Amino acid sequence: MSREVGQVTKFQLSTEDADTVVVEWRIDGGVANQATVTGDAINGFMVELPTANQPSTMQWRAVLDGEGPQQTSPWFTLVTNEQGFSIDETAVYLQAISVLIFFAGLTVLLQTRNGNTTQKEEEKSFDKNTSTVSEEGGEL
Amino acid sequence: MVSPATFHVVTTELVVGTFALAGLCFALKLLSSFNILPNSKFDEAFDSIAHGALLFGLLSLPFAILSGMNSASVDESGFVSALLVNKFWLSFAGLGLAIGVLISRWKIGIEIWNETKSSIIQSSFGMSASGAILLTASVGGKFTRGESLLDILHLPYDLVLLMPIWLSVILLISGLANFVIAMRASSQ
Repeated sequence: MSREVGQVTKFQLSTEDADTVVVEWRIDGGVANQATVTGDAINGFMVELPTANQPSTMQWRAVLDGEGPQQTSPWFTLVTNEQGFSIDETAVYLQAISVLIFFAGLTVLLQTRNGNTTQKEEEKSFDKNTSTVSEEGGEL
Repeated sequence: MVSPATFHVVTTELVVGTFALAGLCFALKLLSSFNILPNSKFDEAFDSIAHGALLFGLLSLPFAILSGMNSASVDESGFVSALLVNKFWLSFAGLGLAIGVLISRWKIGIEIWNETKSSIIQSSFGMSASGAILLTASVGGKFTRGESLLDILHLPYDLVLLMPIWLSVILLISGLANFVIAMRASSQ
């Protein structure tokens, strides 16, 4: 049985001929603590184990009181893992290709447009100089 | 048989080394464009080294990306960490910038350095390509060793910078449009 960090563990405990239920939990064989148990024998008992804020292993057991001697269950282990990482892979691949094409296109566009503008300015400047020279030539 | 992890180390070293050299030469070329560096005989050498190193890095980059994906088992278990996602798209950004810089240099020629504006564009994009690859390598260090040289900058490595699909499609279309416009402009 396992869960993720920060996840609350709540479950129903089905019993027979048990009037009261106490659930104990411990970490790494340490001191046993009592978990929150609500409900009754008729509607069933709801057990809530505390959340873990880091990866760890918790053990829990139930102590049942009712008709006859007290019954204690064996220790059950509950493993808490780090939250798994998941992502839309299509979005990642598409973003990578888009970024590649965009930056390559942007660089080439900026350079070629800049080159064309400079060329046109040079042509204009050349035309202007040529006309000035011809005007001066006419006066002479 | 060489494992993907070992092959990735070799290709990464090639990519990082060549892109770092290219970035340095683009920076020197930029300084030269602003006449901060004296007009030296090394000007043409900076241009050749910058673009030559970038081309070599560009040829090694696909091998680095593919071996990186194999060594991290991305093809089997997917992207298991935010670092891998950022590393992946950053390397593609560097690849795109490098392709753009090289195509521009090939189309325009050495005259690209004649104008201050085009020099700034060429140097800036060349340095950006280098920066993107160095950042990718830094994220790689963080992924494998838990630390990197750029830790001093406290970069948000764990934050996944993932665009929605519609935005990626717009970016892709605009990139292709940029290419078409640029090619038409250069053919005129």
